[in-house]
Amino acid sequence: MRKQNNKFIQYIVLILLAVFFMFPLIWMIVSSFKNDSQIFSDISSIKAFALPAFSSNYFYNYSDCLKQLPILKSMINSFFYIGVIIIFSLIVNSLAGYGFARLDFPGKNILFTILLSLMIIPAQTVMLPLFSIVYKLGWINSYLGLIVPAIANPFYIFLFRQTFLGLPKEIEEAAKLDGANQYTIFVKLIMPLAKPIYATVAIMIFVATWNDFVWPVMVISDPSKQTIQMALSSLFSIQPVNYGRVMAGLTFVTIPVLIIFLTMQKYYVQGIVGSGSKN
Amino acid sequence: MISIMKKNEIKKNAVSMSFVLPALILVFTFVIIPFALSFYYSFMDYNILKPKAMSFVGLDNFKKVFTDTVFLKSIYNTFRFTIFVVPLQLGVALGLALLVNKKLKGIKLFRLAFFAPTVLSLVVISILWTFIYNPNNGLLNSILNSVGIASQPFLSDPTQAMYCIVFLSAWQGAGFQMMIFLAGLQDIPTYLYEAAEVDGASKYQQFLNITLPGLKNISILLFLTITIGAVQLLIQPMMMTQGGPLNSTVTIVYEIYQTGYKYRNMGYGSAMAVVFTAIVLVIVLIQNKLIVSKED
Repeated sequence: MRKQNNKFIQYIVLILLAVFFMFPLIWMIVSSFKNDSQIFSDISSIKAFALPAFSSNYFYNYSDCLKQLPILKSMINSFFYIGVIIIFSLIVNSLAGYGFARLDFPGKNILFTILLSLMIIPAQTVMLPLFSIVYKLGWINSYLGLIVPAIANPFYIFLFRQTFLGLPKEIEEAAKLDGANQYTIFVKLIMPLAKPIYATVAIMIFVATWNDFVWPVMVISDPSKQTIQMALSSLFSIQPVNYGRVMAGLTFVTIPVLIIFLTMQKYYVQGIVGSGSKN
Repeated sequence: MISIMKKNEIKKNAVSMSFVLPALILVFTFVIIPFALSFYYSFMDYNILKPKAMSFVGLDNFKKVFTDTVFLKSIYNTFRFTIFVVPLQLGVALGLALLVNKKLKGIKLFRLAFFAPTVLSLVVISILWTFIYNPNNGLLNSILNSVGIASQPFLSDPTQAMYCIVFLSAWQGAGFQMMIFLAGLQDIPTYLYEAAEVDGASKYQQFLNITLPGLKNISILLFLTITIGAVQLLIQPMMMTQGGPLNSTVTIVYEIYQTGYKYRNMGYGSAMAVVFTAIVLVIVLIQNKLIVSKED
């Protein structure tokens, strides 16, 4: 009997906490289907978290929002430049991770130590001068300014190196005896074995870049090239503020990340946990 | 005449280096050089719109920085934020991890619920919580009213504003650290608990003597990363309050951003960035020292 009570209490606590962590999201999604007068009249009761029973057009806010701003275009923009970053980033960082894990060259240890220590530098120290460099390269208002600086990342190099170190050396040695060169070994042997870490890093890059705001704001000035977070911010600054429309925008922008998160949680959580505990 | 062995070695090194060279070149160009430049620019009067007028001004920028009331206020605000958000977020994360580290049915759903806010962008969260905190039409005041509490000014009040940001930031981030704590909890061998149970130790004693020490390394790492993250606070004040009301939510990085990017004053902004880097380094060093002394 005691055990039953305990379980019951635990569930109550968990449910209360879940409500606490989820209520803003639920309010956001539900409100995206309401017009402003509905949102404000519902706000003082539990109806704030329920879909309206009757509505002339549940999706009005969504069509309004998509009309008002190039949200779709900004989504396409974001998918595009994020995709490019992911491809190059996976290649460049995993190559480097493998180099530091398995290969020898002069200065290897010093270089790796420098790389690690770079992880401590806050991005904001680098932000202003990086802007001036990108400016001088003529990459302002170009996706090059968003893509190229984002490719190499000491943290992902570190993650790849950790993974490669954990792979059995014998496979590589056997391949070398068979006369394979280092590039073949990497592409044909190592990469297939390390698929999970590639998935994990790809997701981390996607989420981080999808949510990135400050750097794109600094680099991009052309509204047609806006990234998704920039478009959202513009939506928010249109006066007068239409709650319903903004909620629709917020929900719309959150969907891709939520989908990726729900379908690939295993990899995403693995990446976080791996980076957090292996230190 | 280079011997065949030397030739092979050079070739081998070249191949090895080709693996790391792209990354190194990129990191050098886009991390190391800007880092060095930030020090260089900090000694210059440099407005990015008038690049030819860049001139050396020695320590003038730094003298200005330390008498700049807004910048000094930003340091104060940033510390105020950090001191509250770090224990709050860590404590909540640990509590959640302990709660979800059970074999209850559906526990995975609860973990997802707690983790969900971390997947949202700070832009989305800032906009959403601006609505929630709205003093007149906001969800939070409506909830408070329904239990008899008066409406609060929240973001429009210089005293409350930063704490509002503390609260929502902890809400957003706790789930992330919860996952790491959870992994750490599951790493603690169960036989330790079983042995303690046999010895008659209470749950509380088990927590103090087995759980907490087992989580020590992770706690230290998380403490450091949350702190470093906290002092970089930028997006929430940028989107929600624009540093107000009355500069109560201006943070260091927000000032750097305003000065260097918005007002194009690269030299002065870089001086601020250098001061900020020094602050971060001091924090890292202090925390390292604390860890070392604790281990004695």
